[in-house]
Amino acid sequence: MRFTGVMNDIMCIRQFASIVNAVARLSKTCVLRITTTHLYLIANEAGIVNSSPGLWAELDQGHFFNVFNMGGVSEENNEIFLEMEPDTLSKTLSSFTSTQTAARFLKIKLTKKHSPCLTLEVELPSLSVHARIVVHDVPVRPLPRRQWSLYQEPEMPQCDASLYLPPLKQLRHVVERMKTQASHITLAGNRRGTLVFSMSTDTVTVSTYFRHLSMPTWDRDDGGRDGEPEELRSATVDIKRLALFLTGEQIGPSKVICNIVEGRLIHMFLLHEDVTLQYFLPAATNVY
Amino acid sequence: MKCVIPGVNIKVFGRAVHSLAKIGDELYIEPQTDGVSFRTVNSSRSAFASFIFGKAFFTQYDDGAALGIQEQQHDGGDDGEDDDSVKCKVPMKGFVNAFKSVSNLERTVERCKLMMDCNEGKMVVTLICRYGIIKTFNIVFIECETLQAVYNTHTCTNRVCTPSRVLYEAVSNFRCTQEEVTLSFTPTKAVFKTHMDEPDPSKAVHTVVTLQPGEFESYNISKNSEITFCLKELKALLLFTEPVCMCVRADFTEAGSPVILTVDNKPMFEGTFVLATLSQRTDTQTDTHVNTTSGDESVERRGEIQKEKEEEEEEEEERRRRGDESEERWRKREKVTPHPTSTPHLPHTPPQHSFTNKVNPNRSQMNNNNNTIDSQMNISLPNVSINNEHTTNQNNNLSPRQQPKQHNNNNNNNTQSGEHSPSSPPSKRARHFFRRCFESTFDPHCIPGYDVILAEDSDQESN
Repeated sequence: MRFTGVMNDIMCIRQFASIVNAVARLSKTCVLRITTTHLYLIANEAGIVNSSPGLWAELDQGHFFNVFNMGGVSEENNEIFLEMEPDTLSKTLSSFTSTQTAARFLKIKLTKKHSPCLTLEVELPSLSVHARIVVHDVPVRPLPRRQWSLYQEPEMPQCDASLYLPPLKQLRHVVERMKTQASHITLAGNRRGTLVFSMSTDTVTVSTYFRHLSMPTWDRDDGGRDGEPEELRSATVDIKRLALFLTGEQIGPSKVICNIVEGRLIHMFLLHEDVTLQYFLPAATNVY
Repeated sequence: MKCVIPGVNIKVFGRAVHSLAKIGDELYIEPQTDGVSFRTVNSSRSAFASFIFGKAFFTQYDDGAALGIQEQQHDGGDDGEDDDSVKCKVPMKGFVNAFKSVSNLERTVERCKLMMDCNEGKMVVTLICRYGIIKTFNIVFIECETLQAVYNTHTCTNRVCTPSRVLYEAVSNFRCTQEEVTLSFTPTKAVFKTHMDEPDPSKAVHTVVTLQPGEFESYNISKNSEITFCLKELKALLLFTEPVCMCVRADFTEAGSPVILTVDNKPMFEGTFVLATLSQRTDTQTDTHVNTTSGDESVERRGEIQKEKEEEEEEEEERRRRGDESEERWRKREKVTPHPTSTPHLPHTPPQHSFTNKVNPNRSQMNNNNNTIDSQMNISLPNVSINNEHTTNQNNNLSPRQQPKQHNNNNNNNTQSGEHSPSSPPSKRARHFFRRCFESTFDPHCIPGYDVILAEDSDQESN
């Protein structure tokens, strides 16, 4: 197994850091899957065996890396799966992506030192003509091939309502306020572009309506979506996890799709030019 | 003592106080004829920091020496600083409170008056602010003591000097939870790297920062050396130097002897930080039996008191065999070299860990077996000594109360409960876990099986 990648553009390095940071906020451990064309950051739902991934970030290798070189276990399985703590990687990345010390280049290598490591080699500007080389070794754990199946791309759910979300910043404010009141939030959407965020306690019920949102068109067969287009389909989820997801806005997604599977799931789909991030929020049962 | 700090200097002073507060809990203030010194030492006695503000720093300065002169004549004045009449120790918390927000200080304070009232036993800090607001802080002395670290920059073989910015940027690459860094110098490069104390090094991030000698203002490395010290204290210094981007000078010799960091802005002020470095087993220890006991361990961990004890015993035995004649030799050498930083080149040098103090630990160990653990810490501390005013010069042994502190290092908390000498009070942790045992109503006789001894005391010192 070998992997070497070089990023020369500070904007790319920063974007990469912010994605890792977003993943770190949502999950304690994640798997970095490296293929010849893409990098994936995958996290499974904690505490559930044989679940499909709850977080799936897909990065286009060509956009980020100027030099990209990898070799998997074998010709037919030309992939690498590395388990790591995104928080460790994120904190390391943030040390050289601040505005003061902008890295000139970042080289990511898979190395075996005291243990398997993702070695980050950074060249930082200095006061003199000399370059300052900083090397960070982030420990990783290569996954054996029999565990690869746990980290396959999740299937797109048959959704009952699918909408483009309004700007995440607005939503965050709404959800943050609701978070102080209740532990769960209900998202309801219909096929006329209405999305309702609501929470209720014994004393108060708060609902925020977003109308005339545009809707993505799925080229799949819409067999599952019958009934009145006005009818609201809803799912109730943990408000803390939704809030965590919404603070991940610094990726700067161009579009965010919210898919609701009634009573079962909310599927968030962040779309960016070269990055996509999917996040699955399972519906809470017996809330009331 | 009485002095007035002008408004333009208050920020520098405030930052110095904050920097000291990062290290110790007590502030030692000592006015001298040419300026006043503010000193502190951390709880484990592994770091000492001092700022000396010269007369030029103040608009008005009176060291109050007129009162002290008579006393000095009394004592014969053999050691100037020790006999200085006015000195005091105040709690750091109270003092730093007076200079709380450094950025606000500059904007609001017009001048600051520091006054020592020895009769009342308190320090008075008066901040004269704009719009006629006057803030007065009365800080009561804890007890009169003088703190003096024994170090010598002239005997250090290596010296580097660098703008603090370079150090700051190098240090900022490390995670804030990182406790210690290792600095290794070769003539061609300087390398900062994480020092791992963890049992499992594969869990942590390893960081290596390489600096070219060209980044330093001066770079004199006579011998390749590697020193490991706490990042916290270095950060405290950088906190002070960073906004003004001063030059930091580092003097050091090798692993095990202290590194001395200085910032110099004479005649205004001068800052000195003396940090202990982790001792490394090297060839400087000529006693061969030490090597056999230490086995394949190259770096001694700070907490390994047990091993230390064994070594001590062997050393002691060895010395007994050498007989009185060599005893005499030892004593002589001690006179020649009052502080052992300068001793390593001598044959039969005591192991580096023995120079924790002005007090010769080898001697005290022979006299008082209870003290051996304390005085024989493997980590070499900067030679910090506290001379209590009330103790005479002949009796320069530390008071027993202070001794347990010496090895109470930040980094060996895990062994704290185990390493106390019998005389020392139980640590906080023990009190917490065995709370019931410390209650006044607790009677050990009411516990079943209290008279059954499961294992005999394994005190090695009894033989």
